[in-house]
Amino acid sequence: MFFLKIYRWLIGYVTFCASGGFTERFLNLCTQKGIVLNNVSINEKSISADIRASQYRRLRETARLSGSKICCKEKHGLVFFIRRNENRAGLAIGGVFFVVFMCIVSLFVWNVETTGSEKLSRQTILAAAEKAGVYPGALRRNIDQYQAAESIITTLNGKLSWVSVNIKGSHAVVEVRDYVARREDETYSDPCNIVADFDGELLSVEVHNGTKACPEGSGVKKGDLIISGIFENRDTSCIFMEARGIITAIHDNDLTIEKNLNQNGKSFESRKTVRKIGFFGLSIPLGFFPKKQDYEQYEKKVTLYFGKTKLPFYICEITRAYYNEAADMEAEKKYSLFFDDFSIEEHEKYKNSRILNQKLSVQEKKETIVIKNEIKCIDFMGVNQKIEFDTQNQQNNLHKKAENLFTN
Amino acid sequence: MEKDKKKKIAELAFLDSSEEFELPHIELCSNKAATIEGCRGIIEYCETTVRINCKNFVVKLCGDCLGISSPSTDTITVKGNIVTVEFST
Repeated sequence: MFFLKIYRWLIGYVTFCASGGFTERFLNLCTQKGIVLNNVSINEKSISADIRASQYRRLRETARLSGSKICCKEKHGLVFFIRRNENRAGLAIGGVFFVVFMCIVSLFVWNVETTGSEKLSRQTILAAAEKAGVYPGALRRNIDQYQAAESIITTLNGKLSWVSVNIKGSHAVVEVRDYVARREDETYSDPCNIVADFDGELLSVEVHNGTKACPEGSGVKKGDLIISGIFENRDTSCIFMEARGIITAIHDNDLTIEKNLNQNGKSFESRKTVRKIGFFGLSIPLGFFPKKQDYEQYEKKVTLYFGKTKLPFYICEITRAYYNEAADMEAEKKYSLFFDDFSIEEHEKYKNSRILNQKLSVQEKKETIVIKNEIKCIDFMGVNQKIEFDTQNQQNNLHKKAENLFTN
Repeated sequence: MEKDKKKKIAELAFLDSSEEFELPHIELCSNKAATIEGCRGIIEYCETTVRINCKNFVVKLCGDCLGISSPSTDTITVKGNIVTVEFST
């Protein structure tokens, strides 16, 4: 149906209206004369239909025979479009330029996307891809996908386990998989125990492999055995294995930070924004930044889209915030800065813990301020400890026994 | 000879006899469109009814918003919400 519509549009068609006379006779006469009518619809007074532009003149006779009056309602198609825009040569030239431009532009890679990595940043992968020749503006035919993938793996040596470069139209997609190193615990194929790595009260002990040595609710000190890797059979013989399990414990985990009150921070001076227009790898700045050393830079990139297709044009907004070293800072400001640092450290330290309760205290000394947070939290507990066998001693004992037997 | 040829073609097209070639063919696409091949003209046409003259009988299609397309001289396609299809001689 779609192609039929395109065909009709290319050859041109007319929507006409026939009123009065005998409708059925009109339609039958059209059929007999080989006039193809499409989308015939009827209302109370007239019928309307589509007809090929070249056949419209032939309708006059049919209309006369059936006693109907025909009138043209709409004209559609390329022929009519060209006739309407005959005097607009610029439009045609623009159209031709657009087609040529699109043909040239489609020879290049428009944008590069990365997927599949959780550890490496997008910028790192894109930098490696650029080294391998995959970047916005690169000629598509010059990119050897296999070689580029190998080159990316070599550049990011040891960080990726698999890379694939796919070119879909004008978009390059770099698919990667992170290299996952074996956990140190997993390297223990030798028999081992799980011992406490900090002081606390056991909340739960879930044994996957081995024997539970400490019940839930009991207090443990650092180094105490929690899951034993020795399993005793009914016949008193022992099996040595690698102990495995999940242990959680409640413990006190305080955080203390001491800051010097004489330390001065930075004060905000000014901010400037400069926009850049980008086309492929080329970027044109629309302004300049003042030459100053101490600044923080933020970037906001807006890429143009055509529907869902990402175009190789983008507008980048770069904002620089300039700072001055504050000569004398207010005490309140200093405190707020200290607390900011403290909250960042706190977040880093307790991101894997569940905090039960906390007590914050601030102590001010002569030149320093001490912020202390007494925290009771739940954490995962346990480290593997290898079971060591004194084989030399055992051998010596066996020798002694044998000697004793011979002497007796 | 011609009859033999027709017979062979009818066999290939899984038709019972070669006479079936000459009979009108009606194809329904759900209740949205009906294509009638081998018709001889339109007897009645309004928004709710279309009566089409076939060789030995008349097909009456009733429904709403009925529209017609005629891609060739002996074929008519009726589009719209077809409610009933009736045959009469």
